[in-house]
Amino acid sequence: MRGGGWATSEDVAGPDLIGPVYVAEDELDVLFRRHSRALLGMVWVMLGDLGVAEEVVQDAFLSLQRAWPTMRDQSRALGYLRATSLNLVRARLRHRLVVLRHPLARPLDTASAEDAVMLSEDRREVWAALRRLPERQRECLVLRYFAEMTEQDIASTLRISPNSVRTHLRRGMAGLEAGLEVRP
Amino acid sequence: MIAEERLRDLMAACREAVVPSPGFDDLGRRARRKERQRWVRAIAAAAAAVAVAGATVAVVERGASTTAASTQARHEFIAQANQICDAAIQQIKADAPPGLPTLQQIDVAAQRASATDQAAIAALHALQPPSSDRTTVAAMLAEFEKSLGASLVVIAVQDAVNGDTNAAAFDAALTTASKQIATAAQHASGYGVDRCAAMIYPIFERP
Repeated sequence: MRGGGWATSEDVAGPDLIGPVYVAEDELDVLFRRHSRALLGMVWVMLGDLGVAEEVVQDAFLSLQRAWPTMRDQSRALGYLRATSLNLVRARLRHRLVVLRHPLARPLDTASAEDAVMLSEDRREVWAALRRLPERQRECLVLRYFAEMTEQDIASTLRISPNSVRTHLRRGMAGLEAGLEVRP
Repeated sequence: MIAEERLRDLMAACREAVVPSPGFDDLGRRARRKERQRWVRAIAAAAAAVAVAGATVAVVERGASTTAASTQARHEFIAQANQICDAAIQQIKADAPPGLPTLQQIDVAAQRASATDQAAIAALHALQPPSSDRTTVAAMLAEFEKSLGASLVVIAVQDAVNGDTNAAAFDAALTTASKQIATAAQHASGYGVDRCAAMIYPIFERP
């Protein structure tokens, strides 16, 4: 959701409905086999919930399937998947802000995700410090250190300049350092 | 160990630890589940909106039958109705979050707008239209209620698809609401309550 708005009878225009979906099953299978696990890890690190991370990655692939016929350069599918996954992660994180206000909502169970991989106390601290960082800094650090992407690739994925990426990485690392010092 | 080394260590551990569930590669199942979720949520929201609208109409019809003697002239009714709708429009505009709002701000503003619309519609129901216009006015108010109900469905669907405004279910709900709002506006303009024709409903526009 990039923007919210208010509609009156005067300014609501009927949107075009999505047409028939072209099923690029073979290409999608190949992409899924090659990249789904790495994407899942990246999303999981950001969300801390493996079940939700799986849904996000699946949704990113379904979105790619819908977009496939209109993609100008299908060799950029991985970039599309990464960018879509990040968008969906942001939406999920923001959605939590809304959901958390409702008493019946299921609480975020991050502890179980960490328990599942039996992380040491030391690694839990780092993960917690990473989660406390601003969104962009966290994304840049995860793309750099988990996905092992170059600054140029991160810039392309996030649609920001390489200089911004360097700034976010530098600030993110400083924030991480500070977060680890504050909570030894 | 400095932060960068500790981060590399965590990332390496996570890369090794991540193991997808057995059904992870079944994209078809995920697509079917999403579609079911969308429609269940949309239908539930629509049913709730219709139930609320039905209850309101029933209450108003009971009230109208006992106070028929105090009906107003048409021009008085139109002036008062326009005043109510104008106040609601101003209130919703004042409550709208500035700039590019967060989803949380949108959610809060949407709830306020729904409450403002509901209050405005209730106030319109409380007015006594000329007895010759009662059927026309009742039909118009029913259209307002349906518009509010349809806009609440859009919000529910938007919520169900986690803000994915490209989702087909979101498009369908938005189309339905857009048509309904246009119908309500036609009724309002036809009767002369122009400010009510411009009534604002909480809808998230396609970005």
